[in-house]
Amino acid sequence: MGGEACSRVRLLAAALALVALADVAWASVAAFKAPFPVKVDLGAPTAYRNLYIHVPMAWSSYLLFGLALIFGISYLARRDPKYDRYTFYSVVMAEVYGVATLFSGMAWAKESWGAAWNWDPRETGVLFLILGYLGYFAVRSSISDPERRRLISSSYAVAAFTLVLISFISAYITESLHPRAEQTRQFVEAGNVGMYFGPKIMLATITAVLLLAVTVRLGDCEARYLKLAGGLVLLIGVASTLALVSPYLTDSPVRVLDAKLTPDGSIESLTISGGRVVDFNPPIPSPIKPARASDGQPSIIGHIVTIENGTVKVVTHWAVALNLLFYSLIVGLLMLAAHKLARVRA
Amino acid sequence: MIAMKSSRVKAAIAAVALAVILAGIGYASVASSSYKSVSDLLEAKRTVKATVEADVVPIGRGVYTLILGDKVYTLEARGSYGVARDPAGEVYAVFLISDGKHTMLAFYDATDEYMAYQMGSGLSSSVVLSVTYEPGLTAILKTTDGDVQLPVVLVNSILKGCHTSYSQGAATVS
Repeated sequence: MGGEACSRVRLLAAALALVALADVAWASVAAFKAPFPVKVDLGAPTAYRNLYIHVPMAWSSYLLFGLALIFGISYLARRDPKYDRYTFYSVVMAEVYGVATLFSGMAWAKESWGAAWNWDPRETGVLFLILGYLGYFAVRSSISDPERRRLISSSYAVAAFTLVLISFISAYITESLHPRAEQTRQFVEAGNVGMYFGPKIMLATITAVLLLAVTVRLGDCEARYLKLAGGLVLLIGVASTLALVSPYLTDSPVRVLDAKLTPDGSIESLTISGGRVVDFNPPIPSPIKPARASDGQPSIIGHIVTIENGTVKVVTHWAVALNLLFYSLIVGLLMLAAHKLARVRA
Repeated sequence: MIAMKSSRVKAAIAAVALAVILAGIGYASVASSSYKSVSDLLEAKRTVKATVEADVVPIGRGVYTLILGDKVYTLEARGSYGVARDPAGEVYAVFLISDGKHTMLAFYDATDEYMAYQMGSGLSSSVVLSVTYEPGLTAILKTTDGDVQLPVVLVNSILKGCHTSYSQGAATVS
């Protein structure tokens, strides 16, 4: 690859390094600070901070599968091998994002649905999507003639996009525990949720596209800072994850089962795991704002908290930490492996 | 040129045919994931694990006796559900589910604490449950109105969706 082409790739890699770092850093900020629903049907409301990690990850995987469709059609129309390579890398990355999305959804579902896996239509749809696209690699590796391999695997990548559509509409065609897009949008428009969600979805989208663009163009070019940035992404992700789970390791978090509030919303007492009642005299301000849901129920109910020396601290649910780790791992490792991936004979 | 055009058409036809097949299998797999009803469960000939959606039938209030297998439980009925205690003091949640045609007794082996947390002041009028159904397993519920024999479903977990959570507005930690 020529010097000019390598310069362009290095520029892209630099952009990827910056955006990916910003993306994972923003995911960490959201995991610690972002708003969550005042009241949820089940589990800890902070588990809904997964919205800022799981949804952008799912969207990125759909986007990458969509790019595989476009490149597949481009190959079928023009027979230019570069489109076949683009299709291959799109499917590889979409699968990585897809698997991470499935596991992050399961971790969230364990808390907010009551079971990690219950063959919910969306869960089934995404599982089938991932398995279906694995067929792309099986088809590819089973044909030795390069032209035939490109032709058939591109046709497969185009056809398999129906699985993306099926998984997306699964929550619409039958009853599902998974929310529909308009319900998520309703929450995103509440309070300052959009302030966290908007930049996150934008950064995740650009990260995914740049990851693909850099990997398909890297060839023999060297972009050493890509590894450094990948390492930093991992470091931010692991450090933030450890900070999020530290209350589980050092304190004894408990679940709030019930609460008594004063008329002004201060906490008089909490009923916690084990049925123990903790009184606060004088009452303390609720760490959750607002202190009550619209039906008057104390918004602290369901939260995981630590109680020490008369103060209540809200602990973010562990599923958020796990999903932050998943996301930083896939982005960091894909960046670290970009040079090796680029040299794979697609 | 003609050969290339012909192979393009073949590839397009193959892609469309494969898309239709994948869409069919995908749709079938998603559709088969939809919730079962109480009547669907009762049609099972062998033990099945399923996700069932049903209405909750009020169980009343008072203290009843529940006989399930060779065990006798004291059942404290609390409106939408009851708490069954066996002689060893183990507690279970019990509630009645129906699809309008048939009624079953749902038996939930959960800790008292988790029940309290999950059920709050009571079950909602409709529930989605992850269950195991063994055909032939029945319970006798002895109430003040007489004895009722009901098919039993063992509850693995009470499932909740995210739908209403998103309309509750946003909260933050101060």
